[in-house]
Amino acid sequence: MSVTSTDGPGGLAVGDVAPPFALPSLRGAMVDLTSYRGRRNVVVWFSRGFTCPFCRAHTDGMRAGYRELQAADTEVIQVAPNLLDAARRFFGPTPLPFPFICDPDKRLYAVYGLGERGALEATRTAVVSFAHAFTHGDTTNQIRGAYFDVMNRNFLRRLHHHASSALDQGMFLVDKQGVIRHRAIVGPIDPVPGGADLARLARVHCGETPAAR
Amino acid sequence: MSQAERLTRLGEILVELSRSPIPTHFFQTLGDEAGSVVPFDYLALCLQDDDKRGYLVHSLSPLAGGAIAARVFEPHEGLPGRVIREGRATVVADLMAPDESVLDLEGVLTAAGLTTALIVPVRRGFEVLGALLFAGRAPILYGAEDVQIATLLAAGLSSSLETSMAYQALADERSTLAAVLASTSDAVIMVNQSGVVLLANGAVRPMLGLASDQITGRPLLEAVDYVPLRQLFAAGRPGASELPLPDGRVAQASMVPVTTPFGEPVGLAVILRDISLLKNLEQMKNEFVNTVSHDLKSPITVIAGLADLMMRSDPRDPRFKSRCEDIRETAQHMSELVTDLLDLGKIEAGLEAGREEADLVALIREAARIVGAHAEAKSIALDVQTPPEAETIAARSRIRQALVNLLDNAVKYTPDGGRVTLWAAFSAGAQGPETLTIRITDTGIGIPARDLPHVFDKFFRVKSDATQATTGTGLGLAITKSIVEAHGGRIRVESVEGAGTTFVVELPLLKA
Repeated sequence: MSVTSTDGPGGLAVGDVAPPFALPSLRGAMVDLTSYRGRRNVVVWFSRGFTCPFCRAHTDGMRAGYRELQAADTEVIQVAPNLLDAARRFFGPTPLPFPFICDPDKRLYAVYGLGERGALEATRTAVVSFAHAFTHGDTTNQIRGAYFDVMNRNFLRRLHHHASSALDQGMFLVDKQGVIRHRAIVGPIDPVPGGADLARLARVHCGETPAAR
Repeated sequence: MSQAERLTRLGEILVELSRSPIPTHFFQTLGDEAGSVVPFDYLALCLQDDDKRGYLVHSLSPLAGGAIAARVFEPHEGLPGRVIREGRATVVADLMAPDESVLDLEGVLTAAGLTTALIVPVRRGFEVLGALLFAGRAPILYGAEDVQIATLLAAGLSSSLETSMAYQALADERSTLAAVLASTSDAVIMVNQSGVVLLANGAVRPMLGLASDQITGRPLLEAVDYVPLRQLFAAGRPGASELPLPDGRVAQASMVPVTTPFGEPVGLAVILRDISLLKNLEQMKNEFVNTVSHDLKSPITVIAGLADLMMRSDPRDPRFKSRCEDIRETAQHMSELVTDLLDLGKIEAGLEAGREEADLVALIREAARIVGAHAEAKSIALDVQTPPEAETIAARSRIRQALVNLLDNAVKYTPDGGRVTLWAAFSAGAQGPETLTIRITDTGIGIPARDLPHVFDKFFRVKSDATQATTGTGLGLAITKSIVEAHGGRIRVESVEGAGTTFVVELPLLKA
């Protein structure tokens, strides 16, 4: 598994306090990062959303290891660059077991130092993504996701957003003191650690009495 | 008009629609201009009401020979209802023969002679906000091109509506926020990350004594010349601290970092709350506790000391009896002190004796009689001049207590052979006598000018040889003042040291 873990300049580094946020979730409740202080470790997962097969594979990986993550006293907050009501429609009455928040303007991505990779990368991502969908028979979900997120609201703006952006995916493991203990930044369709991998990371990096740096 | 020309015209209308976020403005535009791209004899906008239980019809052009009821239509009513439900544009070629037995609006359109209608949904994302209804008479007939144009027009209208709603929500939020900020007595200042003041409410200027009233939008270092506040912002540490204010008061300063819900830092806010009163209260409480414990402790020491002496001495010793008397006297003094304290507590807590009709003059005479014996013993002349009667509503025993306190003080601090005068008279208002003014004057030792402001304070006693010799708890005048004020009256004191003192009490005369 190729996971890059870099402490690049300008962005957030291991040891920094995770910037707080409070945004509405798929289930309607507010997700406030500070409310986990002293209670749970949190993986803040900046994802690609749900509109491509890779995104959904990543989400499935997270869902599969979620029980193990919970055993490691760790919650996952998935952040997606989609519209909240589009996500509600896509997931329907059986949303994810973990909190899912939307940031269509990618403001929270920017606060956590995650950038977009430009049009060329986006085109490559789109081609790979569609090819993958066709070869794996995932076209229905692909079209459904794109329909909900792109077709129904501000068509041109959303299309532009999808066509020109290939987001960095980021994972930030935040301990109970609100300090970032581990971070992984990967490309839009590169593999990301699943729930089980993250549970292991949580055990390694957020031991019971970690000293805040 | 060709379709291309219609599209050009439509573009112009859409630009016109986006000029104002005020609904009446773009409704007007729509009514005036839409006819040039989609012909109609009647145009209406049907909008769902807030709780989505139906829709209202807003006529954008006059309807000849009829009017559509200004009521909420049920979702299953009328052609617009069907369009809103199904979210599809509908053309009705003949209004007289509606399909699926859906009426136009109560048959009002057909009654007005309209024969055909085109209804398109107005959507926002997945929601249908309402429908745009075009209706016409022959020769108007709506075709596929009209549906396309009307749909685009509805899309433009939808974005205008969304802008309008956002604008309205923003304006409401702003005014609510502004009202809250303006009406709080706490000073709120917020600066952005480069030190420019983003927000300062009305309480900032008086609290900090700033000369300029233009604070917002300027750098803090330029707008605020009060150094402690600058230092507070310069340190930028979140949390609470105390900040001395320029006029000597004290404020509690709470500093909070401000971020958007996305975690983007916006700046720093400081909320200043005047806590001078709390600080004063705390100090007063401490002084009170100190005084009371001191005043109760010294007699206890006296009693204990005397008891020790008596244990060692013979009961037949002639000093034995005088020591007993001393103990008795000291205990008596303590008991008075406690009674006074309890009285004061009751009066200040408002646990008052019941108010009833009372004659102030009768009470004055009773008080004079009670003090009379004491005055006679010191051969002091007690002179009382009053009107025949002064009816009011009052707690009799309390008023009597206040008068006795004043008269007793006068007698106590006047040397033998002096004179105490009580003089009472009405001050008349518009409707007859309104206030009874009572002046109690003595020819006693007087009160030094520097002590005058404090004579009504609890436990205050003028320090002089004469007062050392006189007993007192220092609570009498405090009680008197509380009683007078509880009855809506006022009390003040005038005095010349060595010549005498005058207390003036004004009591309002209340009618049953």
